Amino acid sequence: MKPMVVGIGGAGGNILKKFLETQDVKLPAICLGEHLAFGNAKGIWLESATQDTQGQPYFGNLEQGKYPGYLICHGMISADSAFKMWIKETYGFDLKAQGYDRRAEYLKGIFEVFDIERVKEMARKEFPGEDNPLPGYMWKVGIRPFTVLGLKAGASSGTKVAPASVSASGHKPKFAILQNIGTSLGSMGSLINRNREASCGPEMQDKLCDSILFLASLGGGTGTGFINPITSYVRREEKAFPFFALGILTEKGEDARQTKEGQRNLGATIAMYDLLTKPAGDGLDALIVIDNEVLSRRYGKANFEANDNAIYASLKPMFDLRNYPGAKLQDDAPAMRRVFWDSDKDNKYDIVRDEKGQVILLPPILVPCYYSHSGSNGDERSLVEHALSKECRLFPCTPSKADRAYVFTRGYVKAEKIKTAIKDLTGITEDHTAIKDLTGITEDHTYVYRKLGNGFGEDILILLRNPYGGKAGEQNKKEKGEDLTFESRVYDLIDSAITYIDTNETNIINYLGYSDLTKKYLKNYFYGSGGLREELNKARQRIEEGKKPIFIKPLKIFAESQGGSDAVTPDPTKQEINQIDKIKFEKEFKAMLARPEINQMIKEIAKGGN
Amino acid sequence: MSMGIVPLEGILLIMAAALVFHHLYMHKIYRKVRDTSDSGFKKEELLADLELPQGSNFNTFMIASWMLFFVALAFLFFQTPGTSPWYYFQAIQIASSEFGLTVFGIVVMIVTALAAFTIPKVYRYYVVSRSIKALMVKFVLPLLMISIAISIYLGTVYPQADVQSWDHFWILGYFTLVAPLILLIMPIVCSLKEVAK
Repeated sequence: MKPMVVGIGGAGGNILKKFLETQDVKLPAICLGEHLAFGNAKGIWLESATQDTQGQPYFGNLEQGKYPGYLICHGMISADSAFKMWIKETYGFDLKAQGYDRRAEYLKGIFEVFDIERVKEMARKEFPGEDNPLPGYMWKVGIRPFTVLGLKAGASSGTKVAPASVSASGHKPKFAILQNIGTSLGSMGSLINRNREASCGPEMQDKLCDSILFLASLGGGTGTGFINPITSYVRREEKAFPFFALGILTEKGEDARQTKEGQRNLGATIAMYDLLTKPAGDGLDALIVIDNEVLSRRYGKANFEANDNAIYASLKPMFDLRNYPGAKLQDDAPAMRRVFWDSDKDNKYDIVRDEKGQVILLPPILVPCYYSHSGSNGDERSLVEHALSKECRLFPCTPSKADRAYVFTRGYVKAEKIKTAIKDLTGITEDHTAIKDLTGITEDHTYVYRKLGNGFGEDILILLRNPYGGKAGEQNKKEKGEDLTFESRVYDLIDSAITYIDTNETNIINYLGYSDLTKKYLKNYFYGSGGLREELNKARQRIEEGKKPIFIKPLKIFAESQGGSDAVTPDPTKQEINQIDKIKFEKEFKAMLARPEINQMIKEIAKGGN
Repeated sequence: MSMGIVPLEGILLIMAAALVFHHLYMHKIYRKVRDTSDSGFKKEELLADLELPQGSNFNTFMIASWMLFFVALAFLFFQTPGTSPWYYFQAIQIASSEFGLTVFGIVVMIVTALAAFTIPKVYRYYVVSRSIKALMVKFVLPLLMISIAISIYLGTVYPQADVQSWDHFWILGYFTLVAPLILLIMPIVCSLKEVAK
């Protein structure tokens, strides 16, 4: 797997730096070839605020040919754009605002407004052939040229593929001659070593990325807002290209770096909701989740550098290119995509039907568990046991509930022993007692990808697919405030988001910049019948009952009825009931049901009395 | 005034040891993979799978380092008599020319080009940490340049120099040749040590 890593927003950019850390020697002034990251990965940082890209030495402006580079998502919209002004007047969104408003619904809205046919038409007038210029620009200029799709697009349009012309950022023009000499020397080296990145020719396709990995913090900022629209756009453009997302949930409580907790949780909930409700072929291929709360406990509060290092280290086994002999293609991106979507006919838990009754597949959630140690003891069971232990899970979960395990190892281990260890260790409960219906993840549901080792120890990454569900009441499993299950962590997140929706109508809807039309749409999206609040309540109920998946129905703010799309957007003009009154009514109705005389009455009715 | 053939044998011994270490490393990896592999494979397949890009900067520096290493070796041992029946001062026309040493250096580079381009191929089978890479790049070339400078000085003053100081300079030149060689084979030694654990 050779991913194009896309870091979105501030946190995404910081983690991306780790992924792009050069494996080559750093020279003070020049670079004698192309940037070499671990696993030949490429990357780009997407940001909405120009000021955030200033004063940092690592990323250069991709549009100026720098690499590693950043791209400002609204870079192609001119300040005096007629379309920009029209959007501002009609919907109240400023397409070129620096950093945008960081609220999840604002960022969701600014992208989803392009789902309206009239907006698409207007966009096409100013941006020929492009009905959604923001993600279109990020995809076509920033991401696609680094993937194998870039070759196809470059060939069809006759344009040169970007990586051929990019240079390491920060190089001053006065070193251009030196760099050319060095590059020539580097080319001489590559004749023998074949190590240097080829900038053109038949080797190019081999050097480009075969997949995309989006990195974003789910902390309510740019990453949270962008990740869904950009992934939707990419999927619309490329139906079969593998892409995955890594979402990092921010720690609980107040965080000096972030917005207040309720708002953050609403952002994270919306992002996860949107990513996980797009069926196969409409959205991403897997969402890998990491909880910063887990990392904070391990490395201390606000130790972001250590957190980023841990996240990067844990994914390295997946990106390592040194496969066991004969296994070169086993973990290429299309193969990984296939196994991530792998499903069972008789799986009673994750069958979801759309409104037409058709069974649909929703993207899997993958929880990484990572363990490493120096030296080699050749004990596969010990490796697996450590990785599955509570301390090594990067998101709270119950390994025995996972329906698949994808194991990446570096070192010299036997695949069969890994599979047996996974089966044995997921076949017992947390307190190590075997129970009747718990069979563990069977050998045919465990996929092992072995790499030849880094020479300095062994490590193992286990991606557990959907490690939740199947048992009611799991949302209450906590120990000293620490979440013990996936359900517990996500339930609290949804709960906090619902509370924020209920108590912040003014903040959410009556934002000064929105037009009345947008306010109507937003009110409908949040509080309308079949809207977000209602769906989140259902999600909460599903968790309580031990059902999976958690989120089912796709929701959009602006989408008009589209052929083939299952996204539901209630019509704001038909919304008559005041939804806040409805919420109050629900509460009062529940209180009434709790009264003893009503309870007695219900029991009598149930017995058949009058 | 001459150290004879023993110091050269020392260098050849280090290089031979590096070759043995490399084969030992490959053999150990092969055995480990064979013992854990589900299916049979050829050694060539394993070699292909072990390959790892090291980066253009590193590759370029390694080629330059090995080229310069052979030049430094020739300057120290084959500039003045004592090591072999053939030495630089026998080519009187070149030795007395203004660019004689440059020509000597270029001839050595041409003669050893194949080795200088081939030996760095070995690094692609190793996981060379960035700190080791940095150490190699920072010290190998400067040390080799010092060794060459010392050899040029020794060649220039030969045979009129004071024997004791000539020997001291020669030893310094030898040390600044051996130290880079050790640095150049460090990835092999370190990896073998790790894989043997």
